[in-house]
Amino acid sequence: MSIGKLIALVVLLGGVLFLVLHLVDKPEGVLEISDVWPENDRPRERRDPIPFTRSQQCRECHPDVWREWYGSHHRLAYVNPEVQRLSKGFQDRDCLPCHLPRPIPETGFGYGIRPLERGAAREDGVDCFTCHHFPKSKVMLAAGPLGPGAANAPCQPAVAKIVQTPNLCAPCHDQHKVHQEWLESRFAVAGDGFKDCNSCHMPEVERKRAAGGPRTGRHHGFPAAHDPAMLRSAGSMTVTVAGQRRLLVVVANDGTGHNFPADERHRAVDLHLIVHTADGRRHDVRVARFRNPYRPDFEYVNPLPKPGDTYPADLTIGELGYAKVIATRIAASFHPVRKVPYPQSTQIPAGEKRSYQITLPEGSVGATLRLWYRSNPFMADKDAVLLHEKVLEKL
Amino acid sequence: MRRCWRSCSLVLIAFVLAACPTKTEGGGGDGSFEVQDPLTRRLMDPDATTDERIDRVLAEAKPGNTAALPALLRVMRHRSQAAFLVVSDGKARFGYRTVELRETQKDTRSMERVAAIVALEAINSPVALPDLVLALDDVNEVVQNHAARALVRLGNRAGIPTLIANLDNRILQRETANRLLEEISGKQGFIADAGWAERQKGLAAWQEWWAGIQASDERLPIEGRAYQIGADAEADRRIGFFVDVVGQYQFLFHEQARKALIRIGEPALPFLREGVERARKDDNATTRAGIAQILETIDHPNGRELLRDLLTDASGSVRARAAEAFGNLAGKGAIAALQGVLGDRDPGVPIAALDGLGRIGGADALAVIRRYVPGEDSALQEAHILATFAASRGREQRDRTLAMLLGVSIATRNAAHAVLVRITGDDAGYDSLATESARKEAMERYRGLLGG
Repeated sequence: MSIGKLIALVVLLGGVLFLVLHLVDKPEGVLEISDVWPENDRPRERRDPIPFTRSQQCRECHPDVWREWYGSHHRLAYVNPEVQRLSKGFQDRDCLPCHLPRPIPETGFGYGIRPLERGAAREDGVDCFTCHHFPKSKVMLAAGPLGPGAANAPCQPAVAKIVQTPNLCAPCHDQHKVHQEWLESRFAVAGDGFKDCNSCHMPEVERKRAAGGPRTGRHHGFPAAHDPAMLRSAGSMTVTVAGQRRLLVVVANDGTGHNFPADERHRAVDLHLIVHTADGRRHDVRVARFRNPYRPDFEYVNPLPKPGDTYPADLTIGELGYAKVIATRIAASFHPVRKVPYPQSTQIPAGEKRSYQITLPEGSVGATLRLWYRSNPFMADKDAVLLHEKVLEKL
Repeated sequence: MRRCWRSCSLVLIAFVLAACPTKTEGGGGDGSFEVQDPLTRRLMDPDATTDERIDRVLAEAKPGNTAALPALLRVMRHRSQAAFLVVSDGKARFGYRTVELRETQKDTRSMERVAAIVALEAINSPVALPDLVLALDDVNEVVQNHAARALVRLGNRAGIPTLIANLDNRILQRETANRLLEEISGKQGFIADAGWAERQKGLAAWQEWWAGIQASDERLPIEGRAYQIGADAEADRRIGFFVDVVGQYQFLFHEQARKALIRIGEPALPFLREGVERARKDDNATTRAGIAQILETIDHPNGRELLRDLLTDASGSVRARAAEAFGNLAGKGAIAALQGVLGDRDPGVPIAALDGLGRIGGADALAVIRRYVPGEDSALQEAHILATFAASRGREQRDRTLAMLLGVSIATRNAAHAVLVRITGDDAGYDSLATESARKEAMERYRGLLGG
């Protein structure tokens, strides 16, 4: 073989290898037109941008979806008073990309990709365009299948399965590692127990087709931490009387595929013990707080960093003395050793439990256990959501 | 033929080896960062005493000791001042990747960080530039002070305002700040433990000195040459990497990377230009938008040229950020640039341009605003009113702007309030979420401030 042929062969092989490696290295989550429209099922060319700019315009054809979204916290993402206060009326501009996002398909799907903010339609928060608009192809993306009327629909719908995957949610909701927590949960394991974001936060609903007949759609109200029923289904609390003045309390994250509580660091779940005395007094103490501390909370210590860890504590119960508590972290059966994104977080990972063996002081005649959800750690009981309560009038 | 295949195999193996990661440092993405490098382990040895660690760090303080740079930078990058570590990764574009610092711990290593900065200053390598500018935010002011001096040697003055601010601090902080300023300036400062009145005089003298230095072309006695792209391949890679971090999704990552590049200032401009080009190839609008945000703080013809380029970007968000940046920069060509995008198809862009014209103010900006017809879009109409009010410095559209404080939309109230704060310099106790009567009270206060 001549030297020229040899060089040509090497260049060819090198080129092939380069191409393969280049394709493998394609940025994760960035949506190409070919991803939206499979080669063999490409609809007609979209030449003009879709003729809509506001979610209000989607209402005419999708009134039920629009109503659900309008009542959702996605819609309130910008105007929510708590968010307004925390961001000082969004003077903190870094909050805008997730509270007022432009179309996610424009910046890309998947975790590790940050969306960008839009300047208009601020009251709409996370709007229809955020999840459905793909400006590059001038279409609105839908999970499909599309009905017969879709071909002539003015919003120019196209099927893209990616919009029903966690990759759509991750650019905003993985800021606090919710997506990665889900990947560590049993919900992310393919099979019968598989559940993704939509399974819980966009439950299936029956809708009417424009051409008549039912179809299955997804609820656009996104029930989550602002929905008390959803919160109550996320975690459970069981209380067992284990002897004279002895209680066993177990708090479990048995309803979610992420930490409990999840997402923002200001969210807290508190376990409270209220001791009853014979003369009718009530002593209310916090037994545990489940929360991911802020970065500068240097004093915040997680007493149970690993599954199986245990720690003793004495809780002051007024003049009665102390309640003795032994707290234990119980691993998730399917996942005894898990990656923990934040070592100081006391949030309960999916499938895990915390048990509290409590010995009440003499003079305790009854007890109440309460599990509270607070959207910020300073929230008073009157503003918090009572998730579970167990009253033991007599011990 | 057999020989030919053997050669091909060898070349193929070479290709595969070249394509594989050469050296990767850090944990497996779960935040647990394990230090692999022996020198770093030695400098951060938890079993050593503080003094031993300081001695080990200072032993690396030798001019040209660039081999110690990664370890010294790691020692300096404590969680209290950094959201992420920059670790080497042979597979990554610039040979680096970020690892989040997640542990929550008290600051117990500030003296080691000071020692690391002293060592970095002795090595005097521009590779340390981005990390040193971030050390100006260290929780410990003594660390900040030393970073400021090390930066001056690298031709960067970003730390001098920090030193002056620290003159009004506790004894150790003000003493080091004063001493380092003396070294930087070649002038004498004040006695750090003198009485308050004496120190205030000294502080005023330093402020005056700094104002004079900024207004002149005078070079400081220890000042090095400002960094220029191409001067050091490793520094180029590190600064280039920080530009890419601007596009990363972690909130604190991009915030800190932005801050680092802002403080590097003018020398960062060619890196930002390259960053825009890369982000265009990668179809990464997030990075381009972040770069536009940085450019609003670097007033330089090359920066303005890059901003003009970004005003024609494919992404509406990038165009809006570029318009916002021109509004903040003002100066030469800003009005014309903003006028040029008032017809942009993305409503966010003319809204940002109108806001920018309002900020710039004056007769020329007002004339452009007056000529603009906002059409039927209510957001554009509001932006037009607010821009007219701002550009006329509160003389025109006063009643409509004040009425917006009582508007139904919180976004409208926020926008009107932001403009009123800018014009009057007073927040009037206004809260967009307060009751209507409370908002009316604030509105009347504003009416009074604006002269009825």
